[in-house]
Amino acid sequence: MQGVHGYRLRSDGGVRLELTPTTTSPLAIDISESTEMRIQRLITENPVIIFSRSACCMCHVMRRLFSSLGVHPTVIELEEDEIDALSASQDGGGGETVAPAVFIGGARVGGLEGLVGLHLSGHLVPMLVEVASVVVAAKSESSSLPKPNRQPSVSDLGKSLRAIVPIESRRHNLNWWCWFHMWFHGCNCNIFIKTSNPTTCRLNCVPRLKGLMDIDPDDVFRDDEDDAENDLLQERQSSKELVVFLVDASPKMFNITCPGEDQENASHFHVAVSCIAQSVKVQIINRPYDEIAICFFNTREKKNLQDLNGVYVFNVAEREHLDSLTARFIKEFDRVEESFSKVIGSEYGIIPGSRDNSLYNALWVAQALLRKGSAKTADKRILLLTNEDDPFGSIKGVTKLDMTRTTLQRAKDAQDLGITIELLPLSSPNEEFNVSIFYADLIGLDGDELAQFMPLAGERFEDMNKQLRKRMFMKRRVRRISFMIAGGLLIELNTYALIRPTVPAKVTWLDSVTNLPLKAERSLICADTGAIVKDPIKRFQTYKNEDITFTIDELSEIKRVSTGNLWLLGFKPLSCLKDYHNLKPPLFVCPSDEEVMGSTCIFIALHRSMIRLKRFAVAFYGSSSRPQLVGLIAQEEIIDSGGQIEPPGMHMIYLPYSDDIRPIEELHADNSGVPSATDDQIQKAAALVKRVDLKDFSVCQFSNPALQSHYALVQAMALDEDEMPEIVDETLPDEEGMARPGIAKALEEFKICVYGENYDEEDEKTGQGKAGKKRKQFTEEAVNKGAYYDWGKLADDGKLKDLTVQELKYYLTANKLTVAGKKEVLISRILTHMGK
Amino acid sequence: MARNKEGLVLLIDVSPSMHSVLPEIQKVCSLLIQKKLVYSKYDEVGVVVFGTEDTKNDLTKEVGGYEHITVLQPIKVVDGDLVDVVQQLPRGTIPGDFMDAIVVGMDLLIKKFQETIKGKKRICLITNAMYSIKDPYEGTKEDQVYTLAEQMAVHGMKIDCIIYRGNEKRDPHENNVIAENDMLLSIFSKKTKAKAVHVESSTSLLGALRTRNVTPVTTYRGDLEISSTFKIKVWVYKKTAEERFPTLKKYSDKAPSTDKFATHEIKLDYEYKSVQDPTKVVPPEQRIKGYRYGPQVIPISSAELEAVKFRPEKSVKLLGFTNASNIMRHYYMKDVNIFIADPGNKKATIAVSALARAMKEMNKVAILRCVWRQGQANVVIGVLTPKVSDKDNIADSFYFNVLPFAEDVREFQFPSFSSLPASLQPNAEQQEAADKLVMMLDLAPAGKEESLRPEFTPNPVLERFYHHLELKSKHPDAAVPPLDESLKRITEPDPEVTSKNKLVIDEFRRHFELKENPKLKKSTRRLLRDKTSGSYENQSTDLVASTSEVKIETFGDLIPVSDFEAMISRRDSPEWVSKAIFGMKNTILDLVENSFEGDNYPKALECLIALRRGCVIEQEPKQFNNFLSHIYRFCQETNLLSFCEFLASKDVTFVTKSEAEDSEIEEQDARSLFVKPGSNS
Repeated sequence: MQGVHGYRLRSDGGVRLELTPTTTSPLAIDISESTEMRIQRLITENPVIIFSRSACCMCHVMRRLFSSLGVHPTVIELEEDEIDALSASQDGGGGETVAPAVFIGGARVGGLEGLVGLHLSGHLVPMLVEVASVVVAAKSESSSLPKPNRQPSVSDLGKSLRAIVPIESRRHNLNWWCWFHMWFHGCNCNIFIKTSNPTTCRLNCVPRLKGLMDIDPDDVFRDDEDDAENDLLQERQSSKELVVFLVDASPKMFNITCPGEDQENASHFHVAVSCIAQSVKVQIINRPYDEIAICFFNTREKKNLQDLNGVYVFNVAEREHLDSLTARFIKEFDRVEESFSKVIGSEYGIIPGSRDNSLYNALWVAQALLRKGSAKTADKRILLLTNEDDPFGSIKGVTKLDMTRTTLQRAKDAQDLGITIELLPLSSPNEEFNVSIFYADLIGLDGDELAQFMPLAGERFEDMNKQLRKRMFMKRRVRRISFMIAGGLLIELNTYALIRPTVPAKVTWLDSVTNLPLKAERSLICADTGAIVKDPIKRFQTYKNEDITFTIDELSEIKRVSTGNLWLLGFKPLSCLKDYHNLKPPLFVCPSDEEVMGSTCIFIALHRSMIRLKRFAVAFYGSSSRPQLVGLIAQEEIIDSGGQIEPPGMHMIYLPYSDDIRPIEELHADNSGVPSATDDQIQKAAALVKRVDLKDFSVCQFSNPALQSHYALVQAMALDEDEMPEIVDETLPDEEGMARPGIAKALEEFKICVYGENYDEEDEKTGQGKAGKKRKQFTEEAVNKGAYYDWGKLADDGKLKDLTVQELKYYLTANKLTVAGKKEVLISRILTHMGK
Repeated sequence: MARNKEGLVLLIDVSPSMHSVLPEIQKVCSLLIQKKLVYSKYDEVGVVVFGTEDTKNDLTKEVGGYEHITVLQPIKVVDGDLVDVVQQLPRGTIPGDFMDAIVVGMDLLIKKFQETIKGKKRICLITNAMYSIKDPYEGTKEDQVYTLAEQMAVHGMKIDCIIYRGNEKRDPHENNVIAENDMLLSIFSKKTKAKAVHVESSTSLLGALRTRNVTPVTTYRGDLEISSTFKIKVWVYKKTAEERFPTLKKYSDKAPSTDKFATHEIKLDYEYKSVQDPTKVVPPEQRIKGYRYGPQVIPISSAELEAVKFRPEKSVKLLGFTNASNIMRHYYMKDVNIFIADPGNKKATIAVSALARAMKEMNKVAILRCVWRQGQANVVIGVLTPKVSDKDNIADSFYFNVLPFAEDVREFQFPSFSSLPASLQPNAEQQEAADKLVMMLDLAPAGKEESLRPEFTPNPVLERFYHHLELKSKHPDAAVPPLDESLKRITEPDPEVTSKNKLVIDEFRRHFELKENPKLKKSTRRLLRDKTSGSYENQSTDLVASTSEVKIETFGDLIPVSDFEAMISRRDSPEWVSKAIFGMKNTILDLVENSFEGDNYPKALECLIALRRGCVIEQEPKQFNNFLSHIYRFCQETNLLSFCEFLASKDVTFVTKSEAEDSEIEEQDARSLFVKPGSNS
């Protein structure tokens, strides 16, 4: 580690010092020292140092570049008068920007342009290595920086910024100038880059860069994903998980065997790897925006950015170490075991006498990988899979203490950075994994948690293997609405979509030759003139033989029947809400005090009253698309074994209007009276109902077989799998259960009681007989009538078309052909049948 | 189309006691006819009013009697005139006899259609049935009704009775009459296909008449498989289905106005183009579907999709029964289906009846797995709830609601109310006030009609649309009509209920305090407001506005001031300041020069003031001062002294040293230009 421990560590990986000395600071510099001397001294004392104006964004960019290389520069923020001193303290700086200025190993590199130029030419990293400030030689293979073989010029600024983008914000997925625009736009400095030509950009922005003093750089770089409000309509994830799997690959993982799925013994390593393989296959469908890295530790080979021993980051080409999943990654990981010993190899990492601590290294690598993305917007996790409960068991004495301490410290550091470390221990029947030896401290378990840890961990393994392929959605409100309660009282509510039908993901049309995406272009063509029209603002309805036109504005005015968002109209007993009062899935509403304080209190009061009095509220929801009468049903919170099953709030049920309800019951009303069941029959039915009881039925315990088979197909196609994963249709009835004697008996009794003894045959006869008889009669008639015609002659003379459709059908029916279609179709069918 | 043609006679009571609701009746009847004009143009409608002073019907002429019944419109195919007829119902003066009216209506239908359109003949009676009907010549009133009902059944007629009862007080005699009339009307529903609904409010009256006649179609006919050996024949229909806003066609105004046969329609044409090369159109057969898999898109041909598609067999199978409390109301996903036993299959009817009654008794529901059609690519899981009929002629049935699959549920976590801080929890008094409010703001008070029953609540948007459509057919420029008062009872709280419960509401208000969150910035709040009005576009327009603002490079004559301000504040190059000042100067000179009798002076002054402000901000005093002198000289040279006077009167001065350091003008000299006119020239 470099020698800056103890300074305030910046979130973006830099150290900031104040030049103005303070008495409390350990860095306090003698007052008598002149500014020039101080600057000079700082330059010599610090391997990498940046002098900048306060809150300079160029400095920020430089710092980010350094931190992406694992370097933490010292940053000195200078006052205006000190900047003069800086320029005085260095000769030959003439003409170039004075601040910010970077010094590496005492030598002036220059400003942002100079630094980036150096990096582009590939000289920066060696230079850093030379001054020994780079902790570990960074391999630049991860960053896709262009490396031109020429001296960088000023005009490379544009390109270099583009180069920074991948490091800074690859996930923004914006091209560089767009990003750049946002960056400047965000700080109110009215720079707008009209062209993607880097040269123009430089001309436009460089003179003004100097003026960017009063901006908060952290604010400038705020993630665009912070703005969840941005896409209310799209269901895209705004937040994601960054997960690093750390898999122990020590020989112990391979030695110990445990019963696998098919009762054959499998190594722990196999269990761990196949479990991850399963889980990533689910993850790519459930949460495609998550980023995953898989690291093995205790390996023979090493492959990681920090070049630490015993840690191997598994990856495929065209993918960062920590990145979203790709089919290729999953596919190759499926096969990782085959080549594992050859390519990666396993060895004990922590052995007496060696200073190598592979667990420590692994945590470090994982933490470095997770540096990406802000802790606010991403959930960062390390999942540790091992069967070694005592990693430092083989060493003794001070070394052990020291190693334990540094490893725990490393874990704690990671946790302080907002990374959760989870342990998935693998134990075998004859050797229980003992968490309390070492890992309890590492993951911070104590008391009850410790006791419950092992059983819970078992369940988690189970869960990872049996996860459902299900698209996860981030909690996001659909809309914020105001709820008008009587007398002008207006409270604020948030609405959420808790239940919505999930459909297979959207279809992207591709060109089947190139497999490149296509975009659909819609053009509107005037039916009268054939001219292409722009999206017209008028719509029309033919009414009384006239075209009545409406403008879009008029139509939306018609739909605006209510002034408020949601108006309370009154309350009714729950019995007034019938089972058929439903049109679409409800919205969930819960209160919010974000804008109007006191909303929650009113909402809770009403909520409690409604539950106690068994009433629901009737309100009018004036949405712009379909204003509708709604019922608000209060839902009490339901908690089961620590989890919230039903959240507290109200469900907004869309009520139908009178013309939406159809009087079907009356359709087949029979005035001679309808038969109704006798008490005996009802009793028999009751017995059956009692028998065939789904005791613990809960809604949504079935997965959608159509959706699951779709996901399975996509996976099979993506991974070139030969076989489709088997999909179990959980929705089929339990035939076996139904055949149980008790149920079968109840069924039989009810059946006989209603249908009588020999119903089946009788029913089939009457049911089919009627239709059959009619059809038979019709066919006979057709044959008879068809016989009057000389079909062959008619066909030869081309006279078929003179016959009516009805007459043509005689032939068709008599010859058992389909009778559907237009006349020409019928004629050609007849001709085909005749062989003409 | 004509196959489903309906013949309808509207029998409307216009006697004095009905006058108060005749406007509503006119509305609902015209809506009915308008919808027929749009959706079923071949239906035929006749209109008969009773309770009128005059008498005009065939039966009077033929057999005598039947006084005070006027056939306003003999049965004819719906057209625009019919709408006018029902919109101008006469106000009667005499208590009408609804039974006589029914006979007249039947006579119209029989004469018009004879034996045709069986089952599609309908009489719709709207009355308050407040007055006693005449005693028949022979037999009792009941006998007469029975005879009529039989005749109706013979001719395949249906009768819908809408009985309006306002909630005013009535004396006992009236109540007796009402009871008798209700009894008589109920005879119809025993003998023939008839429905009688009682409504109390004008709003329900608007909803009581079915204005749209949709022929029901079964979703499924076949077995309800209780087990592999026990099946019940059922038919499944939709019980609720949203009546949508009519799909209006896009209007093209390209056709010349002289073209009488122009359709004005617009055809849609889709072309798929390569993203890389937008000029290349990819033919449909060269397209292939792609699905996302992580960051990639996986192409899957339709053949592959077909080959492995999930294809369940058409069937409706029982999975089991469960307690009704296990299925919460908010899991109902879609519109509702109804299961009825195969009509005419007595045993199926009994089986359904037995099951429904048993389930009702035990408070159980059934869980089903349904595949409605062969070849359908998905299955549906749903809940079957019993509906026990309380009428002899209507069989028991089930309602079916679709339930969500595991994939359809999003497990969001919400804070429990009990864990919220005490400040957010209501205290005992507040709770009491809330209890009172929930009790008192009652929409279904005992002994009265439940208001806003979905069955009787019309769709205010559709009512308004058809109203506007009718207005537009007469005056193409008609404005959108305001929402009808009776319809406002649906969208806003009923003032009657509110005023009656004023005390409770006031008390509720007193107990709770609401205030705006002070921490929230004004700007965010406004933004949020915009968003609640439901538009994503607001944001994009903002974005467009902001980009256009920074892009100002020249300025127009329309809003020179704002253009100038936008340009002078551009920070991407220092040149913009001088460009802006230069441009503004030209604009001002143009304005002054082209002014006719000083009509441009106010605008020029506005620009000049903006220029001055800009020059002060940018610390460019000389630019302004020199220009002011220049324009002064210019005016003198070109005989535009009136502008100088105008400026002097508006007190436009030089930029002084105190405002901008570079200025050479001292405070006292700021007005020098106008104090000593001509001194600079």
